[in-house]
Amino acid sequence: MTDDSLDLPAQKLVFFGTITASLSHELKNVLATINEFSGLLDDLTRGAAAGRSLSPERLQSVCGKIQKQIRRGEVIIQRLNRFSHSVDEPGRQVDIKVVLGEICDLCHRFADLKQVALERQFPQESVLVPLDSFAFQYAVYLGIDLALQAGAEARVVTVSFATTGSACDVVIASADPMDPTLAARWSTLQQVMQHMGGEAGADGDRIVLALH
Amino acid sequence: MAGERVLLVDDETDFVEALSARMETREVVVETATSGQAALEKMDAQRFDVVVLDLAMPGMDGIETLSAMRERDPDIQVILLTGRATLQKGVEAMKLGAMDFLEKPADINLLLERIQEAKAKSDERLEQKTEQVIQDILRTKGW
Repeated sequence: MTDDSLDLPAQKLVFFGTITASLSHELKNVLATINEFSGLLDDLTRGAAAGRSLSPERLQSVCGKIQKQIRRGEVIIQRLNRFSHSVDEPGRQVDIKVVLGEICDLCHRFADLKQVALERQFPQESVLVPLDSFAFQYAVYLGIDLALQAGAEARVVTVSFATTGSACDVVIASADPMDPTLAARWSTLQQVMQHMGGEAGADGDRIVLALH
Repeated sequence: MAGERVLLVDDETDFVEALSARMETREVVVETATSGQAALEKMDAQRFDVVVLDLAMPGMDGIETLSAMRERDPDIQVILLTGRATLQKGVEAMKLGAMDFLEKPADINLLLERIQEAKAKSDERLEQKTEQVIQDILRTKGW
């Protein structure tokens, strides 16, 4: 939702809350799974103490599953940590590819819940620009959110970017940003980009975020 | 536990594997589904005493699945098991007829207690329906 006087600090706070809530939900699922597998280990060892057979392979399998969840949890915490630090030093040199990659990682769960594949097409080389990472991630999040809300038939949303000198265009396809039901979200994105000194535009079924 | 037939629905496959294994060691008969749609298909194929249902799933979420299940069988007992318990979702679920709402990670003994309660409710409803059918038959025969 938006109006002509966008309360950007409040909107950014909502964005921060949305992302951290999503990550904490994922972490909770990790802990719940570890809880069940460790409970299963307890069940199996009690069974063995009561005389039931217990194969080492079964134990190894369960331990492997616990380790897999721990690795998954570590990845989630790394993402949370990087996101939390994205508010540090706005305007420092950042690699657009890395920052875009991070926001795509953070939006994966939202895409999964909509059964949409969120893909990225990034060039090989790094592109360093002075940027407010947090504001930039917020804008890209809004673009991805628009793409996820639009186009019921769209099952793939692709994020890419291209640079020309000091300018950078982030492209999010496919979407129908002209969908009238999404007008409020579109307006918010446009205002956020304007605050960053850039602009958000539509090119067919693509949203283009232009940074100057 | 006395052979309760439970349908466990969650898109987290490892979680489903672990919890169903724990329930089976406690003599619960468990079927699993990793989506709301798959759960409805299982429900169409066989009867369950209780459904243990995750809230946040791709496609049909827990609330949509609960609603569809209650349409198929108004007497089905559903326990929502979720990693993100909010008052709003809890109220919404109870209004749609969920029997209970537990937050992950849930203590296995608490969950099994709720499953037993749910089965008792399910059995009671089945008894009442059977009694009603018998009464209707007797009435039509003028007895």
